[in-house]
Amino acid sequence: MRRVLVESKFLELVDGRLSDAERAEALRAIEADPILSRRFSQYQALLELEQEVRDEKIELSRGFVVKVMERLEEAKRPFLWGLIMKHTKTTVALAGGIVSIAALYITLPDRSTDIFFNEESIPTLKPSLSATQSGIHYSEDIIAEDVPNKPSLEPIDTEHWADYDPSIAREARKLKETKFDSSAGLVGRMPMPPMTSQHSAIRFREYGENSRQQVSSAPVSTFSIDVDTASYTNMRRFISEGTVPPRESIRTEEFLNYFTYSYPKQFEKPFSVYSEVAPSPFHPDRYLLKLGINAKEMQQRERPWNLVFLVDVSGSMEQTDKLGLLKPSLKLLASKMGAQDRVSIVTYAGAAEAVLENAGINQREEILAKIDHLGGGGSTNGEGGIHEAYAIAKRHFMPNAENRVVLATDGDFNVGVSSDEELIRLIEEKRKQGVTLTTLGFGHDNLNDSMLEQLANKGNGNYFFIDSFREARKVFEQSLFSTIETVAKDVKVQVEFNPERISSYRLIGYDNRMLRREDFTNDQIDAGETGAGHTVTVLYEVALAGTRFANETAGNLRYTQGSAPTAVPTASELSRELAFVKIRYKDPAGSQSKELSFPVDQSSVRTGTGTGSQDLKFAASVAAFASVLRQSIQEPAVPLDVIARVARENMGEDRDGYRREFVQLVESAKSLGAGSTAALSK
Amino acid sequence: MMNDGFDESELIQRAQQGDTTAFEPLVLRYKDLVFARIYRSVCDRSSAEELSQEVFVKAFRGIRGFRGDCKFSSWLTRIALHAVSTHRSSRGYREALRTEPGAQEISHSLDEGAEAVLLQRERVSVLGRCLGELSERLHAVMVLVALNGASYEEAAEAVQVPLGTVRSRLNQARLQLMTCFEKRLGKI
Repeated sequence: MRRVLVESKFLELVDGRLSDAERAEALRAIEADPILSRRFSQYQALLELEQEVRDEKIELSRGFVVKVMERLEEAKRPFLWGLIMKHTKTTVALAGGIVSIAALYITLPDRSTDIFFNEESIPTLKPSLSATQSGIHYSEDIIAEDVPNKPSLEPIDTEHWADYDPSIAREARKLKETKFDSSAGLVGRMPMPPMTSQHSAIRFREYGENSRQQVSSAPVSTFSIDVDTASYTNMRRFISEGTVPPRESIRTEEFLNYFTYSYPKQFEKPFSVYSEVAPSPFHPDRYLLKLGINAKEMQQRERPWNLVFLVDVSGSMEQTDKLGLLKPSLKLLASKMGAQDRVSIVTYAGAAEAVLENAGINQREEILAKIDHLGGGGSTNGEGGIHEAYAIAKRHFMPNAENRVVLATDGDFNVGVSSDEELIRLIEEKRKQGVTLTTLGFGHDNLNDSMLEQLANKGNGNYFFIDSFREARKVFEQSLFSTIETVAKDVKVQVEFNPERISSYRLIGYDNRMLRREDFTNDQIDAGETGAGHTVTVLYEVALAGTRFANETAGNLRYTQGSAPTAVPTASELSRELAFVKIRYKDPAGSQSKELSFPVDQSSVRTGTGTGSQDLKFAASVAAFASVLRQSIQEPAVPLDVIARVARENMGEDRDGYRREFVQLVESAKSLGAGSTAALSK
Repeated sequence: MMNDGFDESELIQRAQQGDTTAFEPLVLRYKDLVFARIYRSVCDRSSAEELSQEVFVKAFRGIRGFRGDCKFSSWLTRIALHAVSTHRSSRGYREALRTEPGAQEISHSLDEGAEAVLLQRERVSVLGRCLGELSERLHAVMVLVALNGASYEEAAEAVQVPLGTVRSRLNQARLQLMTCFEKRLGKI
């Protein structure tokens, strides 16, 4: 018997699980081979050592229980206290808040309605939009977000999953049957689970999911850039607490953009685009188009900073995962100050208070001390926090600087503005005056995730959810320039597909960032910002023209026939341009839009299973994981084992360990029951 | 498990409604289990205690997500495994693995006298380092079954893999540990 084979039976041998014949054969082999017999005696020595370890009594004193209970009480007391504090301001505020959130969804101008579109608005809103604005139905002008989601009835090839593990393929077949059950599948959008208390008080919003588009009817895909990553850190925290994150908290693009990919650095053009087309590692007949949009790096800081920290110090913030994390985060940022930078700090809880105004680098000690002393809770009536912060930013406004308010909170916007609507208006108005807004979310019990994201979006800033000091270091140290230093604003992306090469496409993620085709050239339309060195990764699932998959997903038209199915296209057939990417943006201080364009040509295409780069395959795993958590109706669910395996095989260099951590998260999610058949059929 | 007279499912239910007093008996009941599992994973008492505290804090925060489809101890074990795996990817842990035991540590051991004690300490310390080199999947099974005496079934429930996989991972883990021991000590 071969050595490896005998070694694989050591456990069964010592456990007494082998048949007599097998046992005799194994023992003979061990005796005959000196190396094997040494290995087997080492195996037995290891068992003895294990026994010694097990025999050592390990106990904790009762003091441990006291410490845990103290930590729980600590976390609980300020939370309740904070709630009482915040909500006794006026009882009207609470009721008013609910009304104003509802009002916000209804009364924003029609462009905003698109950003906020939700379950209910789609069927009624879309027909009237296309009818009244363009006067035509079902023409080229009906673009991505105008088509309501329909359940994916696309075929999935799951057979190759058996390459990883035959039981996975069985599971996959089960999933396939469940997911495409005709009675369940044709209902349309999945019902949104109610916001239950299961996920404490975090408020998320459900957005529709981009569906597959036929290039013949919708050749152009337009969206605003998104560089936030909060959805990923939020998910990480849920899983580490033993809970599957709520599906409406998942924003796929923020998962994708959490990671760095190997796009070459560049210092000249504001943007460059790297493209790759290769088969999906999960469904070899589906291709992925991966676009890496790479903002210019900076050799050094180009502009000084005028930062105003607006810090929520109300009772609920006094927890180790809130102020306890916020303080070192701010210190990290303060330690990066340059000679011309200015920092101010405004707190709110009780009365808003400017605890530090316009301090320079020579006052570093004072800045650090003020950060240390943040806290203290406060009485009711937090009037004017945000007004004060903007007033200070304005007072010390530097024309050629990054003028920014940094709002740090656990999600209560009792900042002295009566309604969310008014708050958004204020932030938009200040943005036009040159003061931008970054939001930092802390803690899990009261976080208003969707609101923080929207505010940063409207304020031309970015939104981070800080769940650990490691994350704080990522945001404020490793990617500090890209966090603070804007290189372009109102960045929009438009991808035009060549119908001769690509028959259909689906944009993965960016569900709440979709723009209408004509918005691309309309400079009044606000869009996302990018910082120095930011990379934005975009994945499209595409059907290459002429492939079987393209035909299967073309839908049956009475008057138009798809071309005959062929095998994977040959290299010569793929010799022309596949798509054309346009990026439109404004300089940080400018109001004129500029455009850059990048063709996606043959050099980006790789055919054949498994030919994609490690980055593409890793990104595909990230998107697949997001789809499972989101319970996507567009993307066939891939078993989490397969996702973890593909991610693990494509970790690449992974200097910071983030990819490795991702693999662990996928494995933990599996053990929590995410993506199970039951969850999907719900 | 100790019989403390409490009805576990009732305690869990109350904790799910935010009642910390109901959670206290649960902490008392499971503290040693959680701590042992973590301590034997990370081989460092103070980190293990800190991590155990975090596990219970996280468990309380996430207890509404406990659906009762596995044993409460398995659910706690999952949270503990996750905490361990996060700790294992931390820089501090990886650096500690790289630094060899210093002279002080060894001379302190010599004060104890008996050579056997020294040898035993060395073996345990090498075991800790070698555990650090195992992949996540092998590590979890090795720690649960071999070092904590969990049954294969228990490990299968906590790690969510079939029994056969638990056994094959355990065997693989031991073979890798042997190779690691051989590299460092020449033998176990």
